[in-house]
Amino acid sequence: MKYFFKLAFANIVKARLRTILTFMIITFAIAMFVFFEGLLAGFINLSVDNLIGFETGHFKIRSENYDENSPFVISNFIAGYEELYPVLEEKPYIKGFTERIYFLAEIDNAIDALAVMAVGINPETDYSVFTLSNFIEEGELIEGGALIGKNLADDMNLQIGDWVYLTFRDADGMFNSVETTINGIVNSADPYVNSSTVFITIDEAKTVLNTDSVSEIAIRTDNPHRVKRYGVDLQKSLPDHVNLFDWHYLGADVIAFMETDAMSAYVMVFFIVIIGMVGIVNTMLMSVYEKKREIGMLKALGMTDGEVRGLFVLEGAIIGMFGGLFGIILGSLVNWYFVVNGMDIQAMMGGQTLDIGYRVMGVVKSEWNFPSMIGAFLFCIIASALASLYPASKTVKMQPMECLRVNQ
Amino acid sequence: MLLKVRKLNKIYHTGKVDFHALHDVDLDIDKGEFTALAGPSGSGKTTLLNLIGCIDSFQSGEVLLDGISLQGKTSNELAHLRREYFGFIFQTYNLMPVLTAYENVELPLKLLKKYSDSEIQDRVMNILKIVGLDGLEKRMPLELSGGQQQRVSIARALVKTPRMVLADEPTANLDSKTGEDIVDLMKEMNEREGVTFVFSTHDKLIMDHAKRIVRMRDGRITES
Repeated sequence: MKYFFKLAFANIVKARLRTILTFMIITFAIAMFVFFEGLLAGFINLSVDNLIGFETGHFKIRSENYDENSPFVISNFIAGYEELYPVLEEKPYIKGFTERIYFLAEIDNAIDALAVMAVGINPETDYSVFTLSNFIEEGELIEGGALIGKNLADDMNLQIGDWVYLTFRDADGMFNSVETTINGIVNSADPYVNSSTVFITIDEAKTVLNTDSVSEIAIRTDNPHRVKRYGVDLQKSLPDHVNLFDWHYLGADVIAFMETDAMSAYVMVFFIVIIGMVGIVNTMLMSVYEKKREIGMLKALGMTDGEVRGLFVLEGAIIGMFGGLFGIILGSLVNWYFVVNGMDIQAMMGGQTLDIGYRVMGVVKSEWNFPSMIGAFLFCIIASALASLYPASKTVKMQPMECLRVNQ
Repeated sequence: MLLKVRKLNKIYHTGKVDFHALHDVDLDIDKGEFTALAGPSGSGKTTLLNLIGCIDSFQSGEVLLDGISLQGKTSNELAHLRREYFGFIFQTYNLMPVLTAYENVELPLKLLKKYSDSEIQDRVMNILKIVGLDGLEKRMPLELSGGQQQRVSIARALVKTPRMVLADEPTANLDSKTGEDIVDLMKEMNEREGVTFVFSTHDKLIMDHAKRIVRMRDGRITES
């Protein structure tokens, strides 16, 4: 075996230029894979964090009457929601919970009017579940005022202290309009929050909607990846008139979209890797053609078909191994830069929010995915070896003399 | 009898034309022979050597090595026969260009897988000394003259002490002095080691060194 390695190495070194070209294709393909994989993981993780931090929490408790087709109607609301709090307080894995009210409204500054989602939040407890408070760029949420997203403020040319009207239907189905002051600007990592959401206090929301109920209770636990287990326990403790939903369910559309996007990226990387494999097949085919006489000689010396085939497969595997190794090193260096510095999506978009299904904006930092890197390295070796099988099998069909007769 | 050839026929199919290279050839080779296959170009010398050495296939007839028929042998069985029985010397040397002289010579021993590293080293260095290449073992084939390359090729053929060495025009690419030296070397190995040699040539000077001459013409043996 050692001798076969030596022979394979010697062949690789001899065809230096061709080997370098193939090697570079594989290196590029794997480096791209490592970089994309890291960036994609960064996008996905940040998206999931944002999804949880801005929209879903780890769990939501909703009324049993909740209609997913009309999520903002007041008949969805949970009456007597505060009776649930003792149940939540005694669960050790629950780190925080808060109530929220969602309703549709129109924001109007007498110049422009836009449809928005109005959210009533409890400033005392909202931070224990959601990350909104970390992204208040200016001002704060106080009774009688509103927080609005930065893009929305820019679009409507609104600043702190400006007045706007919010128009909506109340619990009795009547149109109602309230005047409110902009007290704060939110510049969050969620494009939906930035561009189409208005936050008011929950007490004010209850008053203007003329209700004592809330849309939902959001919960944060000690671990988002244990929600299945926690959910089983929590559901048992809750009364029948409410239902419990975890963030996987609540963010299913977004998660599915992210997975589709991720799959598209993988398909692209897959094609790059395929190009690398075609390079190997090409290298090996040329190698077989050029080395016909040598193959004939090896066969004449008594090398079996399997050994000749093995020699070529070994050559492919060695090229794949070194190409893969250098690809991982190169990809890791590029990835390392983006792990440390991140990629400023907003700057790349000329200050605009990226809204392609990923709930991200600002700086996205790549992540390390070592199992995937090891997988890519092994795939590279195996695929390169397999790519060499076809050219190698061509040699097996030839009689030694057929090979030796070339150019004689 | 080391080798028996009976009613051997070989036809080359080249496009629409069939070329009958061997016609019902019969030949016996005994252990220790130093036999020349003589004849003009196209007489079938190389074809006969190739068929004896199991590096080409034939249409009909029989080749028996130590009484074992080659017919019906699989590709791998033939490879193992070549590995065990034969050493090959070619007109164009056919050395592995990526290996040094030493590595080329050790190749058949590595394939045999029955010698230790130290035994391989002893055998290789010994045979390189015998063929007059000691000191040149680290040279690549392209760094050697034609005569030196053919010596490497002879060393490679002999290093495993095969039952039979088949040499196809071993001196054709060499000047007459080097050619005679090479044949002298082959003869010395035949006498010293008892290795059977069958070689093709149309060079009268080389033929004179043979103990037996088998003459061929138009794919037939005319004198044996």
